[in-house]
Amino acid sequence: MVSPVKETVLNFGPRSCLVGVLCQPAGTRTADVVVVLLNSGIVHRVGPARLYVRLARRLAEHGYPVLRMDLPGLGDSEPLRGARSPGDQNVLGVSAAMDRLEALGVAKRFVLLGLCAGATTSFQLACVEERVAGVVLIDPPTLYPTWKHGLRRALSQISRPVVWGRLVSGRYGVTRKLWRRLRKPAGSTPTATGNVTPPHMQRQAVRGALALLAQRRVRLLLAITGAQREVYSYEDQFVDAFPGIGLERIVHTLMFPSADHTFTRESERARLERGLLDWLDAGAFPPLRSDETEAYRHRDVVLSAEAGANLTALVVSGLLCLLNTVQHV
Amino acid sequence: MSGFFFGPAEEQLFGYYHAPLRGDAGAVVICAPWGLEYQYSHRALRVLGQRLAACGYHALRFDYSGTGDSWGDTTDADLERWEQDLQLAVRELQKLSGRTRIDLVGLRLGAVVAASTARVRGDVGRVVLWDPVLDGEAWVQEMSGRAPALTPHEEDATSVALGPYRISPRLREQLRSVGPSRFGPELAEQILLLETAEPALSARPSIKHIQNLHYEFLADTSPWIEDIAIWAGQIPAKAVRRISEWFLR
Repeated sequence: MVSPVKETVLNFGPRSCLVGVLCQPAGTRTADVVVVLLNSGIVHRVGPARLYVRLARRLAEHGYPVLRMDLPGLGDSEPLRGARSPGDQNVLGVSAAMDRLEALGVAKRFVLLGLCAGATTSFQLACVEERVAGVVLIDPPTLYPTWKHGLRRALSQISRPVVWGRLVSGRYGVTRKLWRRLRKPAGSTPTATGNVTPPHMQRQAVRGALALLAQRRVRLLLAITGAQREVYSYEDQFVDAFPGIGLERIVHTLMFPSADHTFTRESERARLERGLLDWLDAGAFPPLRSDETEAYRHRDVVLSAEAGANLTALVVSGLLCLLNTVQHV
Repeated sequence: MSGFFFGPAEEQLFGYYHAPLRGDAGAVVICAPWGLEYQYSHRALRVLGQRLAACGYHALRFDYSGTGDSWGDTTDADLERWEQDLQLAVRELQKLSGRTRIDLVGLRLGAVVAASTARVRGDVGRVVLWDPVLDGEAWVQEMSGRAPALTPHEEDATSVALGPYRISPRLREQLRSVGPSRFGPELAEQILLLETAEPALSARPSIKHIQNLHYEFLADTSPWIEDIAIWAGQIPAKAVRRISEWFLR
């Protein structure tokens, strides 16, 4: 049901140096979760072309409180004092926001949402902040290839004569790229974009983090736009990229093939809002403390799955190199 | 410094007040650009507010209706509404600062809003027109070219596209009609026209002839233009310093 919303400015953190706008359903009641929107890049809390403002208002109209906050050093928030890394600043800043929302009695559990770089921040924070019950990643900058993605991309290109011409003429440099890929040291698994990824976003590190989230039963919503079609081609790609850790139980993916990266078009924004509301309404956010027995069981699954995955990684990597080169037309 | 809402309860405007760090030199309302230019220059205007506060000024940044954190959708906005919003912001800063005379700084389209409002009020002391939009038709064309190629906007009777935003057809016509005639000597006792944009744009209309207008060109970065490396505009340190000095002199 659509109802009016009220918006208030929230100053929080040390010396109240951090700023956010809390958008709440009219009337006072405690919600199951608060959605916290984190900066996309260094765009301040309104989001690209006001994406976050509209999203916050729509979610609040349907009963979900939303905080649009500026991380420390971004927008109207001051950097936190002390020689801390940006990562530490983000953790402390978001934790301060959660403390304030808890103290106000708004909610005790949180869903973090971020677009692009904001998705990376949300993911990292979910791994270290136990109050996070769900994460929404919109077009995260690092996505991971699977053999099925490579095959789909290759098949989509194979019918184009120009691709064959370039392949035969050596323009793609397949042999050179394949050799370079096979010589790469272990642990530097390529992303679907083929870019070099920072250590914390490399596949093994992300796999471990995802296993932790699965243990805690943190729900994860992945929203992928048409801007990612070169690197993400089917709904279950994220789950397939990290097999054996129970992701299928926590991950839900929404595909927006006609949307651009910032959901400019009205109809796509409406679809995103609807999809997000459906996901939130599906409920079943985990309790604050995870079950230890369940956690140990999952850890065993992770360890055994990783042992098997190592053997096939080299072969798959070489195959992907061949397929990726065909994609760059 | 603090953020707050002001104005009517159903149509709140977001403001950010920079209290003077020392002394009480004056009070300035900062008028932001619109659209992507607003998004990119947010950092720069925050730095300007901080700089003015460090110089002893009360400074207020605020978001017009249908922009930033303020009420409404982008389709709710028009130029007249924004002029009313600025009037509210001026009154708010008068309350916060205890001063009756308020100065204005307007960047890009913000300069147009500042000029129109100053003309109506007649009691504005000083106005800084910072790279004002002087040719609305050309500006609308430029903004239209900034839409993502993948998904052009739907348009209907109530909304048209301007870059990645939907606006009312009325606002688009108002923006197209912006020209040099909006600026005149009656705006304020003293006017600073500060231009920093590249010489390639020198063919644009000019308002340098206005009697009480002091013109300066200062080669500096354009905060309303995106620097791809940081997804935002750069901070124009020289322009920020010059504006503060002009108020202090």
